[in-house]
Amino acid sequence: MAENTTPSSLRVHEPLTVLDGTLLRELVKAAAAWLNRNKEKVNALNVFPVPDGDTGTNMNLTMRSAVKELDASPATRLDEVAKVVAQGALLGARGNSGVILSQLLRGFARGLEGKETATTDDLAIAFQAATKAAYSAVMKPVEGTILTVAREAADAAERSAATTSDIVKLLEDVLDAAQDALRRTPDMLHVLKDAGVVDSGGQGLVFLFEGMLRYLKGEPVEAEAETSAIPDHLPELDAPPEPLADGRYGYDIQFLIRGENLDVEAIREMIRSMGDCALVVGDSNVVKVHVHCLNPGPALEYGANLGMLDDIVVENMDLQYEEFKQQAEQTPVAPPMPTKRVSTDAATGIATVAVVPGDGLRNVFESLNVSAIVPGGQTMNPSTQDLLEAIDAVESDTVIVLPNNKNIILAAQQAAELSDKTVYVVPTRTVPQGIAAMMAFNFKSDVESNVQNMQEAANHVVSGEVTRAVRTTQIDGIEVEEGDFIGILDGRLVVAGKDLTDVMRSMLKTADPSRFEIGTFYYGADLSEEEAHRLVEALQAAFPALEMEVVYGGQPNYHVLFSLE
Amino acid sequence: MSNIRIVTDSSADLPQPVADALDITVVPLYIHFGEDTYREGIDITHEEFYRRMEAEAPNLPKTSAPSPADFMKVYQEILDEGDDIISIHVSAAFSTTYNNARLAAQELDPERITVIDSRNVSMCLGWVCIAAAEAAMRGDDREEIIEIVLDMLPRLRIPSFLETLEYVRYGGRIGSAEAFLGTVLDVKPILAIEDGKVVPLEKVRTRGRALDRLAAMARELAPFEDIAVMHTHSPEMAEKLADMLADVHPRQNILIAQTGVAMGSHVGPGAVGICAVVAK
Repeated sequence: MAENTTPSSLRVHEPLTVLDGTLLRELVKAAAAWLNRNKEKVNALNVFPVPDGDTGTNMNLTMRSAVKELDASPATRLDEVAKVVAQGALLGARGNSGVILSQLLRGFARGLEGKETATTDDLAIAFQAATKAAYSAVMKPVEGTILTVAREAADAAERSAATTSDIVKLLEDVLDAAQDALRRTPDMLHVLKDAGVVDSGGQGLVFLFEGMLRYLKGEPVEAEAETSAIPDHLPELDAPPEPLADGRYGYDIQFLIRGENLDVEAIREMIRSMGDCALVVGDSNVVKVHVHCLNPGPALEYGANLGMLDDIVVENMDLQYEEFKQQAEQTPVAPPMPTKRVSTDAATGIATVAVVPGDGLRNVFESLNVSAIVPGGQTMNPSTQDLLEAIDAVESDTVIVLPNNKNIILAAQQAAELSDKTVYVVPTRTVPQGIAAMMAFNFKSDVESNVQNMQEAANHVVSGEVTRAVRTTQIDGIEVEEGDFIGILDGRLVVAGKDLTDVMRSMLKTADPSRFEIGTFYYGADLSEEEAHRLVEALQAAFPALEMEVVYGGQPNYHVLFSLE
Repeated sequence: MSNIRIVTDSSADLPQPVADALDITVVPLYIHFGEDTYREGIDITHEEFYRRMEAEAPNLPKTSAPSPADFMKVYQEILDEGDDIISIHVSAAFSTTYNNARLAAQELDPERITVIDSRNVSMCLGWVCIAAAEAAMRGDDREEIIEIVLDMLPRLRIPSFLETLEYVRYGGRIGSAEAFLGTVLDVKPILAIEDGKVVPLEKVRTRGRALDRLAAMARELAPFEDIAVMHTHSPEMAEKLADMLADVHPRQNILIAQTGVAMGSHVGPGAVGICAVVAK
């Protein structure tokens, strides 16, 4: 793998003064590889201790889309390479951090337009253009985020270019400034300080700069990232096993040997010599064997010669891996599903596209006449391309998009810009807001008044979300322990506790149920129907005046989503 | 030249004093609870109707149109008095009333009886009858009155909220509002009538929201020549909506009335709607 990371030409210690397209290719790949290697560190920086649409995963998938586009393109000119990278990132952008990253790359590419190669001066201009594009992509830019890190890095590039023509030196200065800005993000954004973390998007950007610099200095950016066949960790999926040989996984073999005078030590040694992940435990009468081998025959035969085999389980991991890969590939980019019912599209010529997690919630949206659904949500942010495909797939040329998650709004807006259709995004931040908006769709109104109605309806509901904390932290004075149920009311964490019913009761009390007529409780995949009904019965007993409806949502990770209206 | 008299049916929801003052003849629809038959607005009070409807659920009352013979009787009396007739009725999409009136007119004297499908219902139909009757009292001739009616029909608006879809579903008079059936959530529809048929507008989950939306819709439609707030067995909601409309129409000129029981059997209790004639 050494040739990937240490090009011999760069070992020579003469200043690198010209960046060409070929080198930019390598830098982008190195940046992507380094981010991939470190994405879990970025994921760990989420402010809310919720199983989140992780920043690291989102930025990584965004970069991966850029690299994929690059691999498919013959471009060699610097400006063309930059453009291809930007295009790939734009379509693959997931989550707010991914969208901002894609805008940085778009600005960077614009800054390099017309350049076959670049000097430090050119790069300084491109960095500034990148920052400008990213800031303008966000309606209300917030300091203390990836934007600040990008801006201070770009300013450092400008200062550096004034004194050096060495690109490595410039990137060092950029990285220093980015790291410095990142360290100061908690001082700019109190939620970061409260949570005791630096900004996750900013950290992702720092890893990208670091990856480029490591490449230029001949340091490894972790070869495993180059074997892009292994899908990234996705929250719902177990990590794939390591391949044994030739990219094959072989068989997962488990069995018991029953016999007399079994020599556990000897069996362990023998089994270890046969394959990977060997685990041999037991006593002289029964030994449990687990091992991964390319061929299950020898291990089984060996065991059968020692005694009687029992509880034999042999699984083909190559097939499992294929399934895993398909699942991993499908999960985030599942095709938009046209709904069976009358859709707003067919009835009015205005299509509606909603991002929806969970099969129950999908039924809800379908029954409210949505035209197409993009599966996804908090734990699975669809990419700009996923959204774009759904927008393109519906019949009408006029489309209203409901992102239903604050971390999907930017990607939806980016998809709206990229589409040739007339696309409006009603920036719904929660699923209950999306449902309220969908109900407000008026079959006799034009698209502008519908967008307005839907937004107004979305603002009208109070949304509640309940999930389990993934780490111990303190937010707004509320102590949260890992594993606690946490209640989020309109985006604000209001309660944490061990008991789901207590947490929900406290949330409703905080929201003041006397202000509302009806509460609708969508229970997720983690609750059974019975549990959900018991829960709502308890709530009904506590708040008898509020009408309550229990609906199966099927959403992952969030035990309950609810609306008060 | 003979005078013109206005005939309508009980689904116009005309308050009796108004009908009396303008000499409008109202032919009643029929309500059937099992074997018992009542004439709408004559033999059964709203209170008794909704009490029985609740008591006999899930068996819902049925409605039927006045027969051609009923119309012939009414028409004949008027003709005998020497007057001619303009007979204006509930949308033919909802009821055979219009068709039965037409048959009666053909049977008697089509020259002297003009039958018009209002393509609407409730006080929307009522406002048309009032305008026509006022014109008749002024001495306008048949053509002039017909012109007034035809000019008004496209300006009728009836955004309405139903507490439940249960009754509409049962009655089968929902048309394209079918899109609102079968929702996973317990939604309450806001509907209107367009081209004589029920059309779905949007969905809400609460009465509060329904009133907000109806008021917002009224604000978009304003100004009005006439406006009424109609309800089925929910006077508080109607009062509240009328109060909310005070900024688009003088409150004292907003008529509040209970919708007839035939309509009540199709929309159920708890419905509230606006019947408005938008200004030219």
